Amino acid sequence: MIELQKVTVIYNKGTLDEKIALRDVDLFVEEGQFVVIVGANGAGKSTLMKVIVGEVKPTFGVCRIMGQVLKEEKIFKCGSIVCQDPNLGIFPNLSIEENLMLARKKGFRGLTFGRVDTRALELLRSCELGLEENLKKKASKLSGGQKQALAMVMAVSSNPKLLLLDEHTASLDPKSTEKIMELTDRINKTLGTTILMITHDMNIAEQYGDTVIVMEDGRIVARIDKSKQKVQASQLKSMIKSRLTATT
Amino acid sequence: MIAILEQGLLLALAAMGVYISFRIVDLPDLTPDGSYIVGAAVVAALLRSGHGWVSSVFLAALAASAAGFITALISTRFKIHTLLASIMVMTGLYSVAIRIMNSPNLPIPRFSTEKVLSYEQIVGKTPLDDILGGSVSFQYEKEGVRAAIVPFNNRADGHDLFIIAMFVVVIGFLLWLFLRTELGTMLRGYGRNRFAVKVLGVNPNFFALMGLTVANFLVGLSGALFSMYSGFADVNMGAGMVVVCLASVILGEIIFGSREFAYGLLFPVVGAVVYQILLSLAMKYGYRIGFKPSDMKLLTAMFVVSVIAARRFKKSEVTV
Repeated sequence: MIELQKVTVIYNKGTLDEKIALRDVDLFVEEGQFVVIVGANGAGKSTLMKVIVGEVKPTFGVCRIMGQVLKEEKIFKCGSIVCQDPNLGIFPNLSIEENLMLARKKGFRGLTFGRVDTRALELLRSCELGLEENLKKKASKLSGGQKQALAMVMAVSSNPKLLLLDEHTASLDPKSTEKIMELTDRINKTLGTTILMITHDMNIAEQYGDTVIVMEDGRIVARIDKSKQKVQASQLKSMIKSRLTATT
Repeated sequence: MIAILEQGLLLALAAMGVYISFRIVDLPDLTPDGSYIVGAAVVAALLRSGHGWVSSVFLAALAASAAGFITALISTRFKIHTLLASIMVMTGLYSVAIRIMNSPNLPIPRFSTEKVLSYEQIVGKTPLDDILGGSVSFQYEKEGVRAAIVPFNNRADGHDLFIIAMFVVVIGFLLWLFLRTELGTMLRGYGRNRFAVKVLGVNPNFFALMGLTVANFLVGLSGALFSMYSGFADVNMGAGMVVVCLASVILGEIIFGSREFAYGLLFPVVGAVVYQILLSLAMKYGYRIGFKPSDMKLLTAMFVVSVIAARRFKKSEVTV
């Protein structure tokens, strides 16, 4: 699904402000996998995400999505992204119903009157945040957790093959974080969507996902496959921590 | 009162255009100052050349919408801020309008006139000509003009009001219907979150093009109708149009508050009528406190600034 080969990203190359954000990153994410990327601030997680969505071109190396080097608009035709800011994933001036109606499919719209997908409503109901009872409510009136849940449901409504999550729980309270992470896990397990999630929350990394990738200083320093290595949650946490401390 | 309502509803069409650009797609577009004149100029030129008013009005609005399209194209293609792109287009349209009319203003004739000859040509030489050797006016000769057929009679008997109101109702209904569709809903969404449009696999620039094209179509339509209503087109008639329309939109927002009927399309309509009433009151009684009709643009600009400032102090949403 995602294939990065020897990807290096250098910002402001050849100037005094030159900064190497990614160094020789090799990454391979299979279809249906739930991969969690952890790392401290400045580790290169966000740049990695920008390379995957086509926002940043690698200085060296290649990034392929479904076997092809795609442009930004093409990537969003087969994938979705949910960012840290809950307002980025929704249309705040539209109602929940209108938001879901637009998210139903990817691409251009015509002069048709849309409707809400029943599967999107089911997913919304499963969040248990009361969103399905207030479909006429404007999205701007929702709480942060509700907005992010709506953004998640919208992101998967069009049945994308790939879901990219860029610290999507970072601005939420613990209760909302738990709900959103349960929804994330449910999306991966029930819909089979490939998920690549960035977080700096160790607890999330230890609880969710099939594979944890540890990044430090623009490099991938560890790749922990939970199913193969059969590690306990507590062990995993110490493994991640030890990898991070070993490189600093 | 009927004349005030007529002028208010004519303004409402332009205000709906400004509402679309400033509020729905959230792009500060000053092109209406120029596209209003283009609408007026095109309709005047076409009517004088013998075209019917329906096709003339449609072509005039289409010409104005092209101006909006160009603004959006400059803005999206060359990454120039919409405000700057629209200032450039608006400035250019001043020359375009003069080119269309072939003069800074153009009357729309209501009556046919025959070929105009000088007095001497009609009555022949006078004894004075023998003494003076003929007058300059002897050379004067002008082609006659054909009366343009316009739908307005300017009698303030409700006939014009009905036609203008029909335009506003039909355009308003079509816009409301359009904004309900998936395309229209996405256009509304684009105004508040361009990134989400991109994530849905659609190029957001398309909505900038569509929004400004539709907005300037309405402004051009308003200019064309006003030109027919007033019987002339003038290159200065669009000056300050954006501010006046913005004031109408703000007035509508104040009247309706947070109640957003018909996606807010009623704001500019009601606002424009109220604005026109306030304008006529100011012109009628303003002289008592020293106001002149020419002060209205200053008052309108001050009103817009004060409302925006008041909203900023209240920390409520304002996107101007």
